[in-house]
Amino acid sequence: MAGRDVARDGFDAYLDAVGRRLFGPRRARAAILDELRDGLHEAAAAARRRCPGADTGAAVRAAVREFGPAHLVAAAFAGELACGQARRTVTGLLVTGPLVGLLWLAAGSPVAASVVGGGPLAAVPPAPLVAVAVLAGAVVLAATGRRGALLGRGRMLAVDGAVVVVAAAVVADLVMLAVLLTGATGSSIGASSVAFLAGCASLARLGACGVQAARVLGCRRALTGPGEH
Amino acid sequence: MSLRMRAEALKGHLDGLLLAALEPGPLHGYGVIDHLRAGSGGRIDLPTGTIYPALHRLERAGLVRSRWSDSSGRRRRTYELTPAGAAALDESRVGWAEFATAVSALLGRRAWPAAT
Repeated sequence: MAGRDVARDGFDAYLDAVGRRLFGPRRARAAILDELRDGLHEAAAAARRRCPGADTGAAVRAAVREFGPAHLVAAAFAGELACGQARRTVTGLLVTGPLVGLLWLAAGSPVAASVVGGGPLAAVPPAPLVAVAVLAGAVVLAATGRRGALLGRGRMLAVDGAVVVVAAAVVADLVMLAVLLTGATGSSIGASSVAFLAGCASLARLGACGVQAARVLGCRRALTGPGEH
Repeated sequence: MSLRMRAEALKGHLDGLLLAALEPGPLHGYGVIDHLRAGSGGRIDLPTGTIYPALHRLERAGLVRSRWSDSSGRRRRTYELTPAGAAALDESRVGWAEFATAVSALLGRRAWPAAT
């Protein structure tokens, strides 16, 4: 019982150190720590088989030594976690993009009107913005798919592509909200309940973009970092 | 001089080694490490940090699949070959045989075997 506690405490400290250095989807990080914990227990059991007289503490230390420094173990997972995060971020935004866009279209397509009207928002053409987001999203999905995994490359490309998609979504939502708040269309959009819903959807997506941007940039730092944090 | 092979020396062949380790049947991550170590007489002793992410990448590539179970009160992830993984292992074996033959011919000054 005491031996089991020693093992748990020794592994907890090590896994905490690894976990603090992991960036990516929460479930994937938790799965990695569960898998490492199981591996550490197996390594400790193997150490006890090699040295039957060794106490639990020695076996735990041998297992941790075998797995290596926490920052190196975390750095080794950075690539797969970055791919998972980039794919998750892009999928979420590509799925919600058309939904938010449809709400705005139902509210009266204010951006189109503002562009036609030659206002300050005319400098932000929505169609090319959507095209850039879709193209970058396609690159991310390809880089993080099966082919990308076989090649073992494209992790940084995937992360950078996800940053582009997030930026495009943020710009698009800010433009729509600005149009709504300034009444740039001169239409009845401000009084429409659909416009209210569309505004709420854009606000929610802006919040989600903030969270996703932080996670993606965290993954990017983990990919480019020296492994020591 | 140590005969333990470095990870860099195995670069390009790691996927094949992992797939071969899983060929006899499903293994958990540490089981794969143990299999490589035991199967090579201790010469192939790759860092843990290399094995687990590589298994995750092979799963993303569709060459292995994993499932979770409970073992001694812990969550355990077990990997097994998919049909695509078995095909990739065959390809890997052919590629390694050609590579090894070519390197052996050069290092040992042996003639390239004639095609039959």
